[in-house]
Amino acid sequence: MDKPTSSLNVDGKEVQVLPGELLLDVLKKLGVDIPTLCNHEGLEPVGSCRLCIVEVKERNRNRLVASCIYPAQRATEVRTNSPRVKAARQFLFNLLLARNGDNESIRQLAARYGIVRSKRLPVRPDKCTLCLRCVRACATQGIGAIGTSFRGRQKEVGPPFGDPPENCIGCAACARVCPAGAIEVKEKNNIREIWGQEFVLVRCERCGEAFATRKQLDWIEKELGQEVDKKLCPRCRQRAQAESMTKVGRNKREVN
Amino acid sequence: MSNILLISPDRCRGCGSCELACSFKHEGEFRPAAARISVLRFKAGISVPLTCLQCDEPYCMAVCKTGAIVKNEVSGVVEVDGDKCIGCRMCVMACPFGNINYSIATKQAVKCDYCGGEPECALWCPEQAIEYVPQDTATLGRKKDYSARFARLVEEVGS
Repeated sequence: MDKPTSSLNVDGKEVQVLPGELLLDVLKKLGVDIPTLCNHEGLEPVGSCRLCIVEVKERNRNRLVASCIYPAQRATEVRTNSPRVKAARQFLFNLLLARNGDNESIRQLAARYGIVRSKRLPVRPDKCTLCLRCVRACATQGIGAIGTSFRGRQKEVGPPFGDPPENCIGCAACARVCPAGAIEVKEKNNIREIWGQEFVLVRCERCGEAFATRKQLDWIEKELGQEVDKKLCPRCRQRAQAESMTKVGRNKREVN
Repeated sequence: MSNILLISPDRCRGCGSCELACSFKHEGEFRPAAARISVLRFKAGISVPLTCLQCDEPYCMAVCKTGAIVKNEVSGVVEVDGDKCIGCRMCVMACPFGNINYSIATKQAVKCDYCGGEPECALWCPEQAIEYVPQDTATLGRKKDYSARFARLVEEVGS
C-alpha cells in the first residue's frame, strides 16, 4: 500500500484517502452513520436517492454532495451532520415520504434518522423510489432488460415501452435488490411472472421443486460455455453427489 | 501451504455435529438447515458430510457479475462478499454439486468459508471424518484413496 494518499478532515478527524476512493466508502470505513437507499456494494453508484448527502469544503467553497459518487480526494473537509446536512436530509426524506408514503422500508429509514414528516406535501402511494438498483443489477448482468421512461413526476422503471422485455431471463434479481419491494414476482405451478412476462420454471426430476427459469439456466450455460444441470435442483444435486461417493444411489452420477 | 477440508465418509456416523457447529458459528443457532455443511444420510447407516469443494475454477464465481464471489489466492477459499450480492442466484444454479445456497433472510449467497481458517465442523467431528489438513500430495492421495476404499466398503455391506 504505497499509493499516494491525500489528507481529509472528517468531522474534525484527519484521515488518509486513496486516489479514486469514493467519499461514502471513506465514511463507511470510519463507521460514520449515513443513510443510504440506492447504494449497493455490488453495483455502480449513481447518486439517485441523494440520501448520503454531506457537506464538503472544496477549494474553499462549501457544497452539499452525494457522497456515494463524490471522489474523496477532491475535498479538504467533510461535515456529515452539520445543520445544512440535517436540513437537506430532512427535505429529501420528506420528498421520499411524500412519493412513497405507504412504503414501510422508507418510513423505517426516516424514523431512524428522526425525520419529522411534513404535512404540506400530498402523499402518493408509489412503491418505487427510483433508486435504480434494479436497472443497474440487470445491466450488471449484461442483460439490460429494464430502464426508465418519462421524466419528472412521470418517471418510471420498466421494460422499454412497457412491453414484456425480450431479453429478460426471469432471474428476478431486480426484485431481490429492490429496497422497497416494488417489483412483483408471481409464481404459480411452474410459471414465474415478472414484468408482464411468463417464464417456464424447470422442475427437479427427483423432488419436483420448480427451481429456476429455463431461460436463466440457458443464460448460465452460455456464460460458462459449459453444460449446466437442468434436471436436478441444487439440493438434489448435493444428494446425487453423495450417492456417487457411496455408489448406493439409483442414478449414479460422475463427480470429478 | 493452504489447508483443505478432508472428508472421509467411511468414518462418518451421521451424528450431525458438524451441521450444528456450522450453523451455530454462522447463524448463532443450532439449525442444520442453516448450515453450510450437510450430512447426507442413506440406508444401511451410510452418511456423507458434504460442503463446498473450493474449486480451482469455480462456476459460481464465473457467473457472478458483481464480483461478490472471489477465490482467495492465499487460502484457496472461494469467498462470498454478501454486501455485493444482488440475489440473481446464478451461482446456486451454476454449482454442479449444489454446494452454495441463497439465504432469503439475509438476501445473500451463503457457502462454506472454512470459518476463516478454523473450521468448526472439523473441530467438533468426533470421528475425524472431517479434518482440516495441509494440502499436500499425501492428503490429496488419501482423498482419492478414500473414495476408492469407501466404494469397495459399500459394495461389501450393501446390495
